[in-house]
Amino acid sequence: MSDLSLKGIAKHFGDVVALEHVDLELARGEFTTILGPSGSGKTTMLRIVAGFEHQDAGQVLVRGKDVTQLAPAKRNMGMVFQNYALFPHMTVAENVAFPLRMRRTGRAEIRERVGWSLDTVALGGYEERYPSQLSGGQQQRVALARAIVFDPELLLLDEPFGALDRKLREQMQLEVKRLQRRLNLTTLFVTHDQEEALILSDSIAVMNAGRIEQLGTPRAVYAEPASRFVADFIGESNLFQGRVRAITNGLLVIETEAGHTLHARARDGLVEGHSVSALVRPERPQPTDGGLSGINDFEGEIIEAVYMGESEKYRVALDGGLEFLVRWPGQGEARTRSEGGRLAFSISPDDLHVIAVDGSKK
Amino acid sequence: MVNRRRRSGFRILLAIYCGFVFFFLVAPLFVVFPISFSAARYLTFPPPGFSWQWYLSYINDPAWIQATITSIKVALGTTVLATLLGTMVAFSLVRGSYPGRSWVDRLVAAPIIVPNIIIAVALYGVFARFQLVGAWYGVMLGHTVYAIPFVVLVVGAGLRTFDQNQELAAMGLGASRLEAVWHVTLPQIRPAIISAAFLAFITSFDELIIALFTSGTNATLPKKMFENIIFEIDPTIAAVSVLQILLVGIVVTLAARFGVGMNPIR
Ligand SMILES: Nc1ncnc2c1ncn2[C@@H]1O[C@H](COP(=O)(O)OP(=O)(O)OP(=O)(O)O)[C@@H](O)[C@H]1O
Ligand SMILES: [Mg+2]
Repeated sequence: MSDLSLKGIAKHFGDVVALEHVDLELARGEFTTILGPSGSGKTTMLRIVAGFEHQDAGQVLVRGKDVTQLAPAKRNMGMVFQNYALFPHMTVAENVAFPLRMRRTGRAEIRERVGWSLDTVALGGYEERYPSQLSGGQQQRVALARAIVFDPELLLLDEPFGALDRKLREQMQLEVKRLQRRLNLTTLFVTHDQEEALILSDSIAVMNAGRIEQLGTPRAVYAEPASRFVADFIGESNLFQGRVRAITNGLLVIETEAGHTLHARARDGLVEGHSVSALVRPERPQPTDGGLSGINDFEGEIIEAVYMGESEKYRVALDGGLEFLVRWPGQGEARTRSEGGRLAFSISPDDLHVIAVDGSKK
Repeated sequence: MVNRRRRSGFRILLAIYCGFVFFFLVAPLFVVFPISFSAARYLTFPPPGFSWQWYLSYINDPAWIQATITSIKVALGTTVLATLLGTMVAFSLVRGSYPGRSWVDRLVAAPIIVPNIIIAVALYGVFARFQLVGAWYGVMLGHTVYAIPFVVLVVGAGLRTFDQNQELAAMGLGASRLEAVWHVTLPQIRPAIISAAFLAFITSFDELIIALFTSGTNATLPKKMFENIIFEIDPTIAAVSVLQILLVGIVVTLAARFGVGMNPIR
């Protein structure tokens, strides 16, 4: 049985459709991220799960039990808000004790649970401080401690890292992940940061305009996006528009609109004549010495080169006019590739992911 | 250079202006204080000599003491009632959504806008029918009507700056709506509520017109002072004024101390 299942959740605000028809299942201990651009309905979905918002249609089941009619207080979910929503007039210990006090837990047990919880987030010794006397990362830990102290059935996180600087954000991400693993917490996480989603999740639900476009592991949504939207939204991408001209030796031969010929690994359900998008991630191409003899060989002029430390990014104008993005590991001074130079590369048929364009799938 | 001179000219004018305002605000004190210690039997200024006689006359006159007690009772009752009701109205205005809310929002300031004397006459009409004229709690009800708008304004302002996510968070963590308000919202807007309570107290404590119409023989302090001026005119009212000023001064100081800046977080 899943810990959380959403069945056909729909919600609109006036004319705005916030959620169209959302189905989602979370197994025990699973970390699922809702990823999507602004306005795609992420927060609305989380608020419906938490009980702050009421869906127009559909059901929310927690461990098989329909909680649709339950008030937020009765749902037993730990939630961390974007701005933490710590209570400024309470000390750290009082903040963390709050959910237990509301549950009429005994004093001795409260003391013990609060101690355990603060130790878990490595904040032992900060009991008597007020939230305003803590750094951003520490405040976040208090919010986490408060969300886990009552042993919730579900952990809900709404963009909890938004307010932290990059370094701290990465550190907190890993800490949250470790904590979630250790306590085996079923977690629903909301973010619009695709990098964060890839790092943290067991599975990612990519949302677009109130619908889940794709649900899959980080690897799946990155390497095998189900739609152009997902391909575009997650990571950087090169997308060719084209048509399947033939299938030979298990390879699709794709004729692009710009006049290139691509070879990609064949996929079920694609036959001659289908219009498709072919996706190549920028780190996939392999450098070659030039020459266009093999399959998927390309050459072009570097129109922009950006050095980013661990990697370098080139915008290449392919012969034939198309722009292509390449990202390779950073090189030393001696091996600089600069703007105006030539770049030759080849793409393995396995590194081309073919997406059927809607309307010609079947 | 020109700019600078013009600015300093402006500052001198501003200083003179502020000086005048300040003078007119405090000038009465410089008259009232000396007169209250006057050795003369009439209101004369400057006083011919020093004496405590008017303070003694206040303390030894049961009518003055009775008026003082009435005033304090009325003001305390008004404080409690107006703060309670006003806070509830403020919540309904800031949080609620019900038909007619915008009208309530506009009408709530009416008791401040409508001339006091109109309220006083209207209350007299109603109280006369229910035999409330002359009862201290009648005056208290009248003052409550008058003080509620102040409470609504102050508490409403506090409530508007309060982050409502806090309440949601509390409910998500297991609090009922009432518990969330009690444990999370109220403690955080406490400075506003305390300021509002002090304001209600002061509003009632030196209100004259409503008391004039509704307190009957059971006079409040301002009413007694008014009658004293009309019938006797002796420096006792100067002494009473000084005592009243001291009391209000203490209340204002307490309000400043506890109303704002009490929260260790701010
Ligand atoms: N209370 C509301 N009243 C009216 N419209 C709303 C309300 N809440 C959300 N919406 C609308 O519903 C849609 C989804 O909003 P939601 O807040 O769920 O988006 P989101 O994915 O969380 O976006 P973001 O990344 O910007 O937080 C948006 O078009 C939004 O304008
Ligand atoms: Mg959101």
